[in-house]
Amino acid sequence: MKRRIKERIFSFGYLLPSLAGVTVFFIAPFIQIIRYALVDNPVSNNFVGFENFIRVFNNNAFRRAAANTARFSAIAVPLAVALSLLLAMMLEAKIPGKSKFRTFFLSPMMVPVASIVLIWQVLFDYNGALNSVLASLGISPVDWMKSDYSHVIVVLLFLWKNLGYNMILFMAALSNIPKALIEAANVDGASAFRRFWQIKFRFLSPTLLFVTILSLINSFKVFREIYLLTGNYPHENLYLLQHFMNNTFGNIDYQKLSAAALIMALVMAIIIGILFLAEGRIGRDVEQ
Amino acid sequence: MAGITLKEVTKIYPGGVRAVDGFELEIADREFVVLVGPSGCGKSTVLRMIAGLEDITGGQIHIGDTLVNSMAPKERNIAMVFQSYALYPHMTVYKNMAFALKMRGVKKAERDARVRETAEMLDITRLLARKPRALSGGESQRVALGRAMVRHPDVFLLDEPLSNLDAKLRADMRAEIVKLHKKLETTFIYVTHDQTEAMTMGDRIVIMNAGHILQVDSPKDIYDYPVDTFVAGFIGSPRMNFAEGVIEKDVGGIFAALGSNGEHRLALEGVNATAETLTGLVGRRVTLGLRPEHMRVVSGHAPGAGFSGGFADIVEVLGAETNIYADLPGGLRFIVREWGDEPVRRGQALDLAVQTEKLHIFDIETGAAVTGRIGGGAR
Ligand SMILES: Nc1ncnc2c1ncn2[C@@H]1O[C@H](COP(=O)(O)OP(=O)(O)O)[C@@H](O)[C@H]1O
Ligand SMILES: [Mg+2]
Repeated sequence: MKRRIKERIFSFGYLLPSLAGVTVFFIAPFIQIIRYALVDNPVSNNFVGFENFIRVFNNNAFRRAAANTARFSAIAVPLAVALSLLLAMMLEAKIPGKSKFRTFFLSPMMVPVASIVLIWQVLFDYNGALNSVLASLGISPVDWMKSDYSHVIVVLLFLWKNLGYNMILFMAALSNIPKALIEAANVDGASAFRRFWQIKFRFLSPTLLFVTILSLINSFKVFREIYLLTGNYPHENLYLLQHFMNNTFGNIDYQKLSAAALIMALVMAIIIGILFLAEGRIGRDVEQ
Repeated sequence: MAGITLKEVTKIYPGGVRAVDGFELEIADREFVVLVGPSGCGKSTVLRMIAGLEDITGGQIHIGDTLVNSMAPKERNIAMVFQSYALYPHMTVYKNMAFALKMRGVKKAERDARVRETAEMLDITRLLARKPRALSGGESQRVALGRAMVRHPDVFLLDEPLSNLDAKLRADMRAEIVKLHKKLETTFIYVTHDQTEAMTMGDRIVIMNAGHILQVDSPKDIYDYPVDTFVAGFIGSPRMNFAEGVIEKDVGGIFAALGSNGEHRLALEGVNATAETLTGLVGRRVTLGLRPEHMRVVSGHAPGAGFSGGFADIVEVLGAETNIYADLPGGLRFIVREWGDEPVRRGQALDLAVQTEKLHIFDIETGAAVTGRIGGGAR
């Protein structure tokens, strides 16, 4: 009995440092945000119910930012997942120059964001490489980052930066699928397409979930690149939720900020919840 | 229904491992052939080349009259049972069994009839709704067999299907697979490293080592007439006793002198070799082979018919039989198998009587058998 209690105290002791960190930097601020979102201002502290949320919903900047963010994630995340899986499957096959290919896709991970941004600026700036190529072909220059293409450019940047890591995760998952199962399906007469959907896909599902969530979170973080590329007020296509929050923070409107943050957290939680449910169904019975 | 012909089949894996070399075999329709050999000798590689899971580096494989070298597995109408069973974990037993039929576009009603019929045959009907992880090893094994059977394939390929089962279940399944083979009237190619499985199951046994075929024969012929020391040592348990000796001749006839100082003399009357062969051996050193069951513990024996002056160093009582490790003068050590429970006590003095007609003589350098079927000699 005494030993059990001792053990408990010890394990709690081991947990304490990280628990303290999580509490101070995540849980406490989160509770604070919930409080902020429900009062009129942090000084008078009058409870106002959902008024802050209504204010956020009616805010045009928020609507645009939410729509842009949703659109960006809806395009970039599926692409990042599908393309990295495709790459991993290509690299799984016996192709020459496999390791160089792999290094090529992993290299963006080693480059700091600022340098990545620099490279892209060199490429897409008004006076950048792409425009000079176009000019030599007699096409008039475009201010890429201020055009409707800016969205596409950021998707490309996002993919370039994320494909490598996702690919490695998928390669590990692919190599963990029992070979005999694929061979059995092959002997049973399943086409490559069926072998993928009926067998491999099942085994990949935990990794698919992980990569999707990771990409989703990273897609929210693309703000950093956009901010470094275009500053506080980018092309209206690129005005994302983080821009909104950043600017709201600048205006010291904590109520609006907190409400927006809570909405975002809620949406994320719902999406991730759905993904988990889906994975639970697809990946059932297929654990190693 | 189909026979299989392998001509000069060779497999070199990327990286240069020559796993199978000049493999030459003709398998008749409905035959049960066992490929046996030590681990790593290339058995699975042969099977996988027949299945189409592995490219063939050289040579030809025919199933029936069709050259299948460049055919995909699904075009070959073979079924394979894997050592790990390889059941699809997310499908019920029913779906596992129906999968191949579905892939081949068999109609639902027909599918259902065939799955149920096969399940009935293997006594796994009550498992149909279960997922593989709710099955025991033996049940998984049956389902794996069932999955192969529903398709009515031309050829069954089985790669060490019993090695994950415990000893008792393995013995049961051995008999059951043989029964299935009789019932299905289909060609079976069965890979194992277990000589007991090979001996009890195959119509013919193919003994392999290091990518080569050493001998192809019926179990009895392999046991009686092994072509070399490797085969002789591989088949039979406990394994054959080997000892060096010199073939000599005196007024009494040709005999073999064994032991460091030639203290034992075995008259070679009645061995499986012609008189010319034996005469040709006089004066040469040879390897002699004697199976444990071809010697008896006695006290005193006729001159030239056994070994004298030994004692029982170790006695292993197995119930119905007993293995005696006998130490003999001249540095000889033989395992003798006796029926009955403890016919000899440990440390007891003993002599050994030998069934000379069962003696094997091998070339000391090449290991090739000199004795063999009289007439043809060793094959
Ligand atoms: N995919 C492979 N790549 C390279 N070498 C292999 C491969 N598969 C098997 N081998 C080698 O080929 C030889 C025969 O293997 P295998 O056919 O599996 O033997 P067995 O089934 O008789 O144990 C072994 O030396 C093994 O290491
Ligand atoms: Mg093998």
